[in-house]
Amino acid sequence: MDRKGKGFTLLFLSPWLVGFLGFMLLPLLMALYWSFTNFDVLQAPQWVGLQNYVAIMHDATFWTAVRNTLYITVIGVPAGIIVGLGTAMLLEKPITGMGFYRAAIYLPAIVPPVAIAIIWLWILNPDYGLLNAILSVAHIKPLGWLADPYLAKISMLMMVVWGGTGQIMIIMLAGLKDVPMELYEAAMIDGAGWWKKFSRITLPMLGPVIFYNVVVGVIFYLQFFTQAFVVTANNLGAPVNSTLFYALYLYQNAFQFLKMGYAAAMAWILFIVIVTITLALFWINRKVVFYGGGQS
Amino acid sequence: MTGGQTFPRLALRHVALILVSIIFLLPLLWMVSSSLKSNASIFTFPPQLIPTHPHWSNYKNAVTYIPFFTYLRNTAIISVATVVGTLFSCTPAAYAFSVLRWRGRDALFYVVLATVMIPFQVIMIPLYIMFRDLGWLGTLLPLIVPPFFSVFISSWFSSGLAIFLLRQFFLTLPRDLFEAASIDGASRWTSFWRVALPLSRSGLITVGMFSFLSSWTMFVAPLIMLNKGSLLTLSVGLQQFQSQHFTAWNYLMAASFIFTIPVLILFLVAQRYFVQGIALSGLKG
Repeated sequence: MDRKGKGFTLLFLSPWLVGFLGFMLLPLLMALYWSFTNFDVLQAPQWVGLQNYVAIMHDATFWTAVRNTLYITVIGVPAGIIVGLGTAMLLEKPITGMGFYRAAIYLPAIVPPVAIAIIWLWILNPDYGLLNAILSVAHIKPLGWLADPYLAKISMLMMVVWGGTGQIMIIMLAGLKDVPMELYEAAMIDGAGWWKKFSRITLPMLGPVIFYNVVVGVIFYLQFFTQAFVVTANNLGAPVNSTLFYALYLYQNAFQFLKMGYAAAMAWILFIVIVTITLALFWINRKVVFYGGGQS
Repeated sequence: MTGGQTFPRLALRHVALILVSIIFLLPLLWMVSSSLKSNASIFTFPPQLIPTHPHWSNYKNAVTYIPFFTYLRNTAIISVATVVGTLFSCTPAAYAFSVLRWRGRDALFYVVLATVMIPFQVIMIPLYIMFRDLGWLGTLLPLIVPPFFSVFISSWFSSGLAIFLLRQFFLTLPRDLFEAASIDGASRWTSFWRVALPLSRSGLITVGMFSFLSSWTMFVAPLIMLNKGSLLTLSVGLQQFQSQHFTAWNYLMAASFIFTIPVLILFLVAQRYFVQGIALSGLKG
């Protein structure tokens, strides 16, 4: 390529390049350096070697946060995909009112996460909440949705799945449209039932789409923060640290306890875990998932 | 059209879809209903589904209970800046990664995609310190400037995804078009500005909308970077309705609803672009 062309390319890349180097790579390396220091923001960081990492490994609260985070990830990712795929399959074939149904299911996906948390906080209110009112019709006693350590996690999952389904549904719908009709027709001629068609055709053909949602879902849940923060704003992680998720504990260390070095170490551990899991998922994907002819 | 289904099956689908729609709409309707209840009727059990006497004055009280309009203005400034900044920085980059040809292009594009994996938690502490040293902490700059360098932070939309989406749109443009343009003597700039951009309008709209939605609703970045009361965005400011002992639920619901209205309108007006963009991000990976 000629000189002028090179300059042109560089010019077009430059905003991104400056941002990548200055606002991403540099902070990433700074965080790595601080993770080996004692740093309280006010005084210059002091080198302490691996001390932060050793302390983290012996920090019981850290492990609680890890367990809580894994818990919602392992339940939330499949739950979101099942609900998203289920709703997409209901909407797959043309039906009167399709536009309304699709908009109704998608709508929560655009509601700000903070508003979602606030709405659900009110729905889950033990004394005046809508959910307990609905349950009381079935003669179920009022439940302390956010007061019980086990229910509190379920509550978080409810609000996230409610808000996240729309996105997954739209992707699944697009994926379902790409499944060749001939496959179903051939299966019909062979006398295959609903389950067989679903498990032998739909699921394998949706492999790449499901895979994408797993990756996005895992990255999201490992960094899950907003709803948990808003719901327990006055007492982060309540009740008894049952909703203290990784990102929440990291925030506490950095901005409440001013243990920036410690938080930086936690952040780098999170970064490495996310990269490792993503690469592992891509590896599994290559082994298991079927990619149809049209895709690269 | 019924897709040749039998009547009972179709009826069953409608029933299922109505039930599902109710589940997804009810919390939103509940927000609106609660926002119209009086101070007394909001605290009754079992709750009324539709308030008998709608208290429209709640909306007036909600916007004076907290400095609502200040927060609204901050949120709007940040969101508009994010849209402009994202399009300014990500569009040329996406063009360079699709239409332009240069060595190392595809390798560097993997770097763009890989940035999606960087958790905000890693870079937030250094960014906080950097912005402090730059003297930006008492201003909106920490949230306004980064989008102009393709960096913005939200849980679901990132510059990596923006560049990816725009690139997808540029890739659908026929190669001959650019060759024809260059034979006609069009400069590189003209090819970009006069040929590629007008043909990728729907891509630009999609990315612009996503960046608006994500900046309007983002929480963590303003929570950390905007540490002065008068700088808060609505996401962060809404917390002030809740205190240790009492929450004015009806006002809070009213404020949350006003906060949601702009994105609701955006969605209803431009549903097509949302659907297209989301499907594209999930499918062509």
